[in-house]
Amino acid sequence: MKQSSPNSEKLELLLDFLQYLKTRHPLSLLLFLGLVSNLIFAPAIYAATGTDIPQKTAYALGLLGLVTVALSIYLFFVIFQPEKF
Amino acid sequence: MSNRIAKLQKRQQKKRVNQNQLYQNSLKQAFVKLNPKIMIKNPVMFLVWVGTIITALLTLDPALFGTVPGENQRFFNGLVTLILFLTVLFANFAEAVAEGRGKAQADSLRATKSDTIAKRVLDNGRIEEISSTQLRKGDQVKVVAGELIPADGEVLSGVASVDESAITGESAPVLKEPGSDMASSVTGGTKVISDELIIRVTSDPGKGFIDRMIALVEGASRTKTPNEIALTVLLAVLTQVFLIVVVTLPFYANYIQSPVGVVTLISLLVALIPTTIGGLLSAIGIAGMDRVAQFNVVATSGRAVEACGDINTLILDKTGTITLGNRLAEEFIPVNSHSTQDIAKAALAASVFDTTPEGKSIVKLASNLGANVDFEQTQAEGIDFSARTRMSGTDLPNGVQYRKGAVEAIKGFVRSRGGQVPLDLDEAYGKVSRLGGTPLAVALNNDIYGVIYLKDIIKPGIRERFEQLRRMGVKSVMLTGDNRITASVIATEAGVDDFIAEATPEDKIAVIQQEQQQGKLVAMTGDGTNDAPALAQANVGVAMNSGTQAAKEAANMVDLDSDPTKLIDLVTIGKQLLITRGALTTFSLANDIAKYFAIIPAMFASVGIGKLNIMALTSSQSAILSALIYNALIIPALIPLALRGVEFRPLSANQLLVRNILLYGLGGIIAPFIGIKIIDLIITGIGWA
Repeated sequence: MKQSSPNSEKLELLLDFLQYLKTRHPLSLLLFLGLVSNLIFAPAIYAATGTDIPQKTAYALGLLGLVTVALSIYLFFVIFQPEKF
Repeated sequence: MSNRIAKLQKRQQKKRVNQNQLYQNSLKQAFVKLNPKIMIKNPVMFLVWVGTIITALLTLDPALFGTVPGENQRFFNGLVTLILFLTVLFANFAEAVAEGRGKAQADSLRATKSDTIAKRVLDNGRIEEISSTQLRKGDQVKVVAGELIPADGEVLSGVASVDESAITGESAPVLKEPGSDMASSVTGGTKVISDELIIRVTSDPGKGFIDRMIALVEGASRTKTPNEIALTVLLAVLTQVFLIVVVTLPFYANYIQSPVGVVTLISLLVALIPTTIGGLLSAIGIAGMDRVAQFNVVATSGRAVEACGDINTLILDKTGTITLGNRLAEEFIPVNSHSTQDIAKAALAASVFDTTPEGKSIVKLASNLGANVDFEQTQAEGIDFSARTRMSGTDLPNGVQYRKGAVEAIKGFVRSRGGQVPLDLDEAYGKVSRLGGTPLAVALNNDIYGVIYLKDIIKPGIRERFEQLRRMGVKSVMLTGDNRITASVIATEAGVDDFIAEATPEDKIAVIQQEQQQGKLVAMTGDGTNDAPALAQANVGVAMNSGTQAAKEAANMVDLDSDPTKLIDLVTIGKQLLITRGALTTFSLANDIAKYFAIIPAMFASVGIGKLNIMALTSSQSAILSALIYNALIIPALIPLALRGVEFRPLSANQLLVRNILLYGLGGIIAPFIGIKIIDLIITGIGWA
């Protein structure tokens, strides 16, 4: 009988949780993924601006950029599927 | 007198209370609509809503996205947040007021739809008392005087007066009887006030006429119309373009070393996107449906109301629409050396089973001339009028046949029985036709006795209505079963563009298809079962409430007052809806010019484009606040116009375009310049910026 490692169990738990979020709370999942992706964008903004801005501002700008992109994608949805709105 | 004044005051007070309640509920609904799941349905306002949240965060921490030059940042950000929040709230309020008016109408309808005890007739003839909700399509029920009719249905037997005021508002009772196209259908919730009826139920519970009406006026089954969808796409494209423009601005601003704050960028975005029409769009649509409902017409969809505005051809029945419904027998004209007494007697015999107003008027005229029936009516058989035979009459057991009907039909009848057509028949026929009346020939077996002159009276004011329609580019076609001469006299008198004489029900479909093949939109009214295919084929089919269930099912509108002339009003309402939407879109987009000249010079004041500040606004902060306050206030200011609709004038499309461009286009450019300047002076005066 194959024994699963503690790490793969944790991964499975995480995937189950994400699946639960996707079906029951899709908006929460989107917000969660947005915050997670900001962990990549914010350091990039911080690095690009040197030390001109504090780290907190870099994270805020990262989120603002994500919100803007999300709004733009949403508007494309409205343009191509207007009957849903 | 004082009693009347007291009543009037009471009514006005009640109206005020209802109005106050409507506004209170709408305000509550405006907050409920802040739910993101609802806000996301309105793309323009959703962007303002997201902008409000961001500016609210910047009020708490003005340096959240980096430090921005300027004084009193927190106070300025707080003001911008408040204005943006009010913009969203005003838009929600406009929609809630429009919905609230529909709901009020639905509530008054719901009051008529209470569960009643129905007397179901069982197969063995016994009567069982059950709740009206247990009734199913096909059940038979007995309703006696004083009881509410439990469901929609067709009268199987009995004759009774029914009070339909609950749905039509008309207090005069309506006579209901079986067999007749006009009077055999009854509506659930209406009240029998005399005698009794046996009714076959034609709808399951919850699917009746009143249920459908409630769902429609409440907006439960409201879907976006093609026009609204097209406008939603246009607004989303404009919003997308302005979003991209605003997002790219900080890069240019940083390059010219004039950094711009996020609040200023959000303000510019909100000022540029078409918030006015975005906030009022759904209110205009709902109000359009509401206006149709106020005319006592139930539309199955907003699409039908909108289609009314695009109609190119109106197909109208002569009788009831162009002329007053009841043609009355005016004179008997004998032919073939018969006397007036002879034709009166034959006409009476041919009409004893005819229950139409025309038939009854013939009986009355003949009786006045001293004619009487000399056969046993119970032994005789009535021959009903049909669109195919175009005659009716009476058959006696001894083989004698009395007939009256269209002259050509009676000629054929007489010839088929070996008779001759008298030479003076055409003269009598021509005389009646030239008077614009309907000639009906009367025959006994193979002998023609003469012509009955049925007098047609053209409705007052109808000529002016057709003139208005012509100016709007709408062609009117009159359909009539009359001969060509009568039809042409009536058509000329009424001022219709075209007419089709001796028309059969099939002709209606043929005309509709012919017009549609030329790319035109066609509207028509109808009430009989034989009108149902044409009602379904037309782009706008208006069924009369007094008509059959089949006609009502096939049509996309039902007129509760059963007034065919209302089709002309519906075209006006449809056009008004489209014009209102177009006018407010033009106004909203034209407003951008002034807002642009307010905000852009304020943003780049430090790099020397102060000359663009043509309104001489005090400071950059006051310029932004003024533009946003104007943007917010214009929404509630235009709510009455959105709900009432732009004043409609019967002009051609080109004249309307020029008028609206001048009024709403040029007005939309000038008004905000004045409005923003006044607000700027006030803001400066009270020291906000």
